[in-house]
This record gives sequence, structure tokens and C-alpha cells, in this order.
Amino acid sequence: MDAEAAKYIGAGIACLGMGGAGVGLGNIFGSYLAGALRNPSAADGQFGRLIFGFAVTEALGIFSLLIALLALFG
Amino acid sequence: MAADKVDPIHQFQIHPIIPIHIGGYDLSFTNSALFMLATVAVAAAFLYLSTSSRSLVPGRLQSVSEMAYEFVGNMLRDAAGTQGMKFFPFVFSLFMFVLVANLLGLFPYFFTVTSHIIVTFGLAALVIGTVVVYGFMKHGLGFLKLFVPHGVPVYLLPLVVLIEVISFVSRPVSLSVRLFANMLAGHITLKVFSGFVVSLSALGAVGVAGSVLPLAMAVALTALELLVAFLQAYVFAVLTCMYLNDALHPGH
Amino acid sequence: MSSKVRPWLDGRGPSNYVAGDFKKRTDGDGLTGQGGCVADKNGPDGTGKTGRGKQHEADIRDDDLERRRRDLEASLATRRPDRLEGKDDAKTGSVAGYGQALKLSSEFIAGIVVGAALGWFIDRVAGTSPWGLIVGLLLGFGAGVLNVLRSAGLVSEFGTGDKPRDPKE
Repeated sequence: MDAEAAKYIGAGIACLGMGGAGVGLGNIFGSYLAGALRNPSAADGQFGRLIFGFAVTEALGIFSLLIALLALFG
Repeated sequence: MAADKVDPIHQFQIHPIIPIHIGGYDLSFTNSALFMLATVAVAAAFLYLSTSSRSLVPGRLQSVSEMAYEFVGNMLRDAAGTQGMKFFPFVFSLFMFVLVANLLGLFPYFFTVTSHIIVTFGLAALVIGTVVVYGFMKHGLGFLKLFVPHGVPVYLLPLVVLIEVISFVSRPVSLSVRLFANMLAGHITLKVFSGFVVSLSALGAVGVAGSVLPLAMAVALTALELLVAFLQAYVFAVLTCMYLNDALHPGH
Repeated sequence: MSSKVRPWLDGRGPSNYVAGDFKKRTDGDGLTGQGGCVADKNGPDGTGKTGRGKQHEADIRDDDLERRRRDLEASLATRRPDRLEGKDDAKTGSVAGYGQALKLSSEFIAGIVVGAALGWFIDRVAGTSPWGLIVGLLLGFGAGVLNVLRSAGLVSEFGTGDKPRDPKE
């Protein structure tokens, strides 16, 4: 296996981390929706916190994207 | 029958109609260019013919074009104030071009101009170019206040300004990607479901009976695409108005 | 008959909607389903005339309704605050929700793509690989979140900071 192939495989493996971020995002939005259905009047007030949770979770996904991009182009 | 597979991407291929090559550049008149011309011709002819009678009590066609006029006018006035009305011809042309291009693309065998990212990016670059040029013309370097929010501590300022600049640059990208992705995804979905109808009905009587389902889906999707065609033209025009507002009133 | 109705139709303001006026109106054109006695009281010439009068009234009412709606729209347009992008169509159905979701995600991705592309370009020009890409991607992430917040109407628009927005001239 030459180094070029290893690079692509490494990038692919690094992208697996995005899957974890995806699971986390699904969890966050699902929980938000469940809470919003229980108490719709409080839903709009919590939208900011929803986005905060989204940002923090997605940041970890972005780290793995960063590693993948570094493996490809760095 | 099963040999000619349905290729959902085929409809987006660009092929030259009149080949023109000047100095190593391929400047051929393509089907994309043809449909852009058709879009402009249809929009201009519709607006001209429907308003040519200029009756005080508008007929059906005239009220459609008046509605389009007032719709864009109110949008621009809401977003950018009365000062923004000097951009009305620009925004109205953009809106009509995108709307008519989207609607023309819904006809079978027609080419969808807005399903190519370079076209939508060209339109978005036009918008953002207007914003930048007009902003600097009107406010000089004061236009750069756009990137400096009030009430940010000095030590955070470089970071915030960098982020604001990236956010500004990402605007034409998101503007063009949104229009392009909507049109592309919609047309591919339509094509795939229509393809199901063909390949199912090749299977015999059971297949023909079963192909009713994807046919119904394709009909419903066509209605949805009609809505999306209008909605995306609207979103494009609204965002153009908001960006022009930044050129008119940076920093407030 | 129409002269009896007109004062109500031309009346302006919220007094239109108080109970007394409403009752007067139902008395005025109470033709449907009330039986012969009301029709006799209002239109002694017979049912044909009353029918036409009703039609006419309906026209007047429609015109008037149209005019009042236009007035309302005009007065709303002057005092409506400038709407934040996407805020007004947040809960108007599934298609609008789909559009909203596409919009938010495209804003986010556009921020990241532009940040990474800028960083990569700086790397290429200045030869600072891989730091430009790293910093660019992180800044692009920040810009993407900012785009999402702005698009959802949670953060003020460009350049406005924490100050309230000036009214439009």
C-alpha cells in the first residue's frame, strides 16, 4: 500500500467522527422537539440554548473534518 | 426497455448548439444560454404584453404583473427603506429572472438554468458586487464599519472582525448554493420517481398497477416543485434586499 | 334599505365591532332564514326586490371590506418593524419548516466552506500549511454559527451590535 492510499484511508477514518456529531445532533434536536411538544409555550425561549448545544456539538464534528482535511491537503 | 436506464443527471448536461471558439476559449452557444435567452424573452414579453393596455381596472394578466411589481416593491421597501427603491429595477429583474427560469425548468424536456451553480453564483456575485461597490461609493471607508459590531471588547475585536468578514463572504455562497441545491435536488427527485414509473411498468401487469404509486408521487412532487420555484425566487429577492440594506445603512 | 345600512358600513374604528352595532346590522339585512315578517318589514315590494337589494348590499360590503383591508395594510406597513429574516415564516407549516431547515443548514455550511477555502488559499499563497486551514476552519465554524443565529433572528444584523436598530427613513 503506498502512502497516497493510506492518506485517503486515514481521511475516511477521520470522517467517522462526524458520525458521532451526527448522533449528538439528532439527540439534541430530538430532545428539543420532545420538550417543545410537552410545553410548546416554553419552546421559543429555549431556541437560543438549542443553537448553543448545536454549536458545541458540531464543533467536535468540525474537529474531525479538520483532521480529515489536514490528512488530505495538509 | 430495461436497457435504457434512466439517468437522473442527464437533464443537467450542457451541450453546444452553435459551436463558437475564439482564441482558445469555448464560447459556444449552449442550451443553457438558449434557455437564459428564453427566460429573458418570456419575462420581458409577459410584462410588456400584459401591461400594454394600461387599463385603470386591470385585467387578469395585467393584475398578475402588477402584483409582481407591488410584491417586489413592498419587499424592498420593508427591507431597505424608501432609499432602497433606487435598486428596484435590479431586484425586480433578478426576481423575475430567477422565477421565470425556475418555472420554465418545470416543463418536461426543458433545461433548468438555475440548477447550475455557476449561474446562481454569478447572480449572487452580482448582488454582493453591487453591495460592495455601492457601499464604498456612498460611505467610503465607513462601509467597513459593517464588520465592527458595537460593544465588543477591544481584545476580542480582531477575532470578531475576522468572523464577520468570513460571514459576509459566505453570503453569496449560501445564497447561490441554496437556490442551486433546491432546484437540483427537486429535479433529480422528480426524475427518479418518473424513472420508477417507467421501470416498474416494464415488469408486466403487476408492475403497471404498482407504478401508480410513484406516478402519484411524481404528480405531488411537481406541485411541490412549483411552490419551491416560487419560494426560492422569493428568498433570493428578499436576501438581495437585506444585503442592499447593508450597503445603504452600514453601522447605523 | 341601503341607506339604512350605509351608516354602519361607513362607520370607522373599533365601534364597528361592538355588540349593539352588530345587532343593528343583523336587523338591517336580516333576510336569510328569518321568514316573511322581516322581509315584509324591510322590502314591502316582494322577494325579488329584496333579493337584488341584498346583492347590492353585498357588493358594497365587499368594496368596503376591501378598502378597509387596504387601509389596514397601509397603516401596518408604515409601523411594522423590519422583519428579521426567517422569523416570520418559522411556524407556518411543513414546507416552510423544510425551507427554514435548508436555509439554516446552507448558511452554516457556507460559513465553514468559505472559512476553510480562505484558510487553504492563505496556506497556498503564504506557505503556512497547515495552520491557515486549521485557523480558517475554526473561524469559518464561528462564522457559520453566527450566520445561523442571525438567520434565526437571535443576533442583531450586521454592524448593529447591541444597539437597537434605527428606524428607516
